[in-house]
Amino acid sequence: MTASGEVTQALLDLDGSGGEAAEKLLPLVYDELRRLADHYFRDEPAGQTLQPTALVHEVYMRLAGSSTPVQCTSRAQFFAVAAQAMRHLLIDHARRRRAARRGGDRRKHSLDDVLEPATYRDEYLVALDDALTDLEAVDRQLSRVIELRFFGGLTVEETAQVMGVSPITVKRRWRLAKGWLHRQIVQGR
Amino acid sequence: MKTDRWDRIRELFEEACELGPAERREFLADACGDDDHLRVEVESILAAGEQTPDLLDEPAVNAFPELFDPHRSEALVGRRVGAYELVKLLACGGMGAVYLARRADDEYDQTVAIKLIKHRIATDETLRRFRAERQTLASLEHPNIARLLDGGVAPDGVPFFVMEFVDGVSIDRYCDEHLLSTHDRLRLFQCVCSAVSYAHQKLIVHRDLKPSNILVTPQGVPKLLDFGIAKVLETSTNGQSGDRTATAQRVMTPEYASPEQIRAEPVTTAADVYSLGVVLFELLTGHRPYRLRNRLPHEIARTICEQDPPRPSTAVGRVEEVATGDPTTRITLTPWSVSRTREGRPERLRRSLRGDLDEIILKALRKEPSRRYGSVEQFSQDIRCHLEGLPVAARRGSARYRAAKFLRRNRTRVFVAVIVTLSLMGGLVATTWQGWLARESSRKTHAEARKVERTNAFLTRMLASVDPGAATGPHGAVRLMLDEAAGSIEAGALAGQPEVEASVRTSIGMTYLRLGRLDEAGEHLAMALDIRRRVLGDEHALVAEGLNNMGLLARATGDTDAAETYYRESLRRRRELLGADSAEYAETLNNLGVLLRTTGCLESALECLRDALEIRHRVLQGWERETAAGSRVTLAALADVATTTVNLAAALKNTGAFDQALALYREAAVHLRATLGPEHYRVAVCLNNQALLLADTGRYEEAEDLYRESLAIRRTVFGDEHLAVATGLKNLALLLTTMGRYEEAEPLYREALDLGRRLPGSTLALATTMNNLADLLASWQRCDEAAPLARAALEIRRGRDPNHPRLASSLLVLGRSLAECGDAAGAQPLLRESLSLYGRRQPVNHLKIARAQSELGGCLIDLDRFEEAEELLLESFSRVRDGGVRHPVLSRETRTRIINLYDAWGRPDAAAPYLDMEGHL
Repeated sequence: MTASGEVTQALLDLDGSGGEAAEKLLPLVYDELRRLADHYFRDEPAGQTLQPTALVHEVYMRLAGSSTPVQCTSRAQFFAVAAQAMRHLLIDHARRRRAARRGGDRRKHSLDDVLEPATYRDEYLVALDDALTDLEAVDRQLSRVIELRFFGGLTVEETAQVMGVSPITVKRRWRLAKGWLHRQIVQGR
Repeated sequence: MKTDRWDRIRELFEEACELGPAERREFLADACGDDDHLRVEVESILAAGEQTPDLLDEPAVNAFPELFDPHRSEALVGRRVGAYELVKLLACGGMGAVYLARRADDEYDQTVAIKLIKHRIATDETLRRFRAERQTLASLEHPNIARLLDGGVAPDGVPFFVMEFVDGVSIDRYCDEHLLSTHDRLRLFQCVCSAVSYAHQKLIVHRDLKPSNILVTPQGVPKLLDFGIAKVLETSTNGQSGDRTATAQRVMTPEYASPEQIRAEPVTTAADVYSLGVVLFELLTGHRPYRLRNRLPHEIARTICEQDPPRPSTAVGRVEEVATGDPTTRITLTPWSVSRTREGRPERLRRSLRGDLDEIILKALRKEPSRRYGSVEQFSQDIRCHLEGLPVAARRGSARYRAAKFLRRNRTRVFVAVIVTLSLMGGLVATTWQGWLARESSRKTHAEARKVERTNAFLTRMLASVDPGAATGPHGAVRLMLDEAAGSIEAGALAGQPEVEASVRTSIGMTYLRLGRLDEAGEHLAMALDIRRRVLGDEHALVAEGLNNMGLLARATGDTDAAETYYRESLRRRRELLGADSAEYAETLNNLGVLLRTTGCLESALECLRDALEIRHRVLQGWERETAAGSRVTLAALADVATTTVNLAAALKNTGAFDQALALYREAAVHLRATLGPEHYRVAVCLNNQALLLADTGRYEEAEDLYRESLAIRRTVFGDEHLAVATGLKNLALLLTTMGRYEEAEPLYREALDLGRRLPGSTLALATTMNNLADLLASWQRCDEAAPLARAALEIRRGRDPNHPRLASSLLVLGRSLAECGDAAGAQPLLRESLSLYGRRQPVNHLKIARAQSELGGCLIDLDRFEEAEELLLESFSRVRDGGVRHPVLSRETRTRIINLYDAWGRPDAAAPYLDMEGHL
């Protein structure tokens, strides 16, 4: 089966059984995102701000656009999976850079590490990822809001659509999740 | 955490959010009651949520701008990689970022470029492969390739390359900034090709050629970056997974990638040919062959693998909007905008591309690798052909194009080649090419004219199929032309048109004959004659022509009897059918005369040649009356007159009528100059023959002038590297030797010898030079040098023909060389054989015989055979003195030998008269 065929199949499965299909889909979406990121990395001119939604949309198009039409719900679920993939991608990137900074060049850079914004950001993201994993255990719906909005780049409305709730609910959950995570990060350190 | 407790926290949190800070505290205290833990829980979440700055408020991707915006990716500046410190981000590519770096260990100051690769190396196996590839790449040393200095894997698994830092701009920018013309862009591009070709020879494919990988320094030197790195990454970062497509897509740039790369098929050097094609397309037109609407895989595949690229000359007419380096501006390409930095005006630009360059580029851009250029070298070669006005291989399919191009360039060359070949191979005999042209174009009837027209059209097409690059020299081109033409006749190109076929076969056969390829000549000439006999009947002018040609062939193969029969058969028909005053009759008469001269029937020969000359003069006068002065037919007729004049001169010379011969040579030279221009090979040959005659009659000074003139023409016509020049040198040197000017002669021989050794197909001529030089050296008693040269010459001649006419000369020189070295016993049999050969030769050449007698006589003195020596020497002496031939050198030599003889014999009285002879020779 071709890559996009697999995706379509996984998306169709998603309608029925959920979890298992999402696991199949994730690596495919992840790969696609990486490829796409590489592409932007390579060709996009300076200063172009990338809309994460656009990125995810494009992944969607690339993976599923050409073949079987996919129903609306699976489309929504796709975004959920894509956001999850994005999370993996970005966190992975942050972890690698963090590891690299702590590698062979420690002596030279140890003093500057804390002050560098990029360093702070990477540390934050890694911590956030840990906290988010904790939050999943507490409240899956809260962690999904974070994934969709923060990693997937979806708007409140889009998130509401994907989750099948009202925008108000999304806003409430967003607020709670943020508070919970930040507390967790601060406490966890 | 229990679910209902979390639900409670959630409820409280949500309600508290709607309240102000003061109310919140009150609300929570109220709601939680004595459950402090619950209150603290909600309060702490609320407090954390208020925290600023809040990184969650911005989408996460914005936290990694360097992932999406290369220009902000300077995080690694200041880091150390290997022995280098990263100084500045230079660029980002598909594979990673390139930094300017400086050597950090203070060993020495060195600025380099370091490329950090994004993909980590995971296993030992891939690491090993990476190192091996890096080794290969480091071996690339070419002025147009940025050197790979080092490479390795950083501790975090990131592979990196250390490369020569190139301070330059991408090739497209360079060309635009310098307003380079199409011509200059092609020249620059050829440098790029040479670099790629060099790498291909080392079996390294670039795989990612694009303008940004080709930088041009301020000095105008192009430098290729990232050679083979794409391959390294493919093999080393993607070792075990089967995900070839992903890697391929990751590494290449779709706009420049070949269809096979898009399809993730095996990549060969043909992929680089394709990418170079795209680069050249863009350099010359300002447009890319394809614009991708988006980067969906199927869109890329459809466009690159299926869509036909436009012709470059068409593409320059397009108007399209393209992205630039600056995202806020998109520029619009128009015919004017792309022309401004190139040829100035759209029409000029279009014209510079139309035709050759269209085809060259499209050939490089073929979808199927096998239909592209076989190598970058061939690609570049075709560009060279275009620049030099030669036919380009990309357009080989078009017969009309090749005909036009080949003839435009080679009309003169082919013409001259045939004339020259004629002179070289056939002596100064037979029909000339010009004569052929003149006759063909002056055919009377309309039907004939049409046949000739078709014949010429056919020949023109055949000329067009010659690849001038494939054959060197005019002979090679002509030969190829003939083989091509012959091949297509055999393939039935002229089936159903027997008369045309016969005519073409005649042309082909005659040219083969001039080239000395007698088997092929015979095949075509005989076939032509057969066809004509069959179609036209036996008594026909064209059959007579065929017979005449067969006579020429028979003479060339040495079958003089057959030649005479053919000529006489032809002669009768031509006289009866065309008249005894026709040019055709004179032609055959001329040929018969030449034949009879070589078979020794001098009287008959003279008769034929005189008649032929007379008729040819009348034909010439006829044309002079009927056409404008200098018309082609007049010139052709004049050339015929010159030919027969020369032949008659040669025959007269054989009969000893030197003065008449000389007068005719002079006349011929004038005619030839008038028809062919003052500097033509045939003029040189005529002067040469004249000089030869002058030298034979002892008029050395006059001969010297003519030889020098002949040599000068040869150098002008052929350049310094040509056998005809070697012949001129040799002849002049021989004359100088005869005049005793050895010091002047030796360097000329040496030059001729060098030429002969360098140029192919000159063995026999080389033997002559060797022999003559040996003779000269022997006169100086430089026997050690002379004997080996003489022996080599003898071997060559014997090897070619056991009865070679010049064996006598070789034997003489070798014998003489040995005798001068004191080996009289060894010399004696050689000199005897030489003398015997000279004695048997017709017509008798007294000088040669006298010389052989003199040498043998001298040799016999050393062997104490005085009587025999005396007889030979005295006969030699009187032969020179009484023969009316002045040869001071030989006379002096013989006189010295006579004096030596009587001295050795103890008869000083007999020597006395010779001692008094000083000054009278």
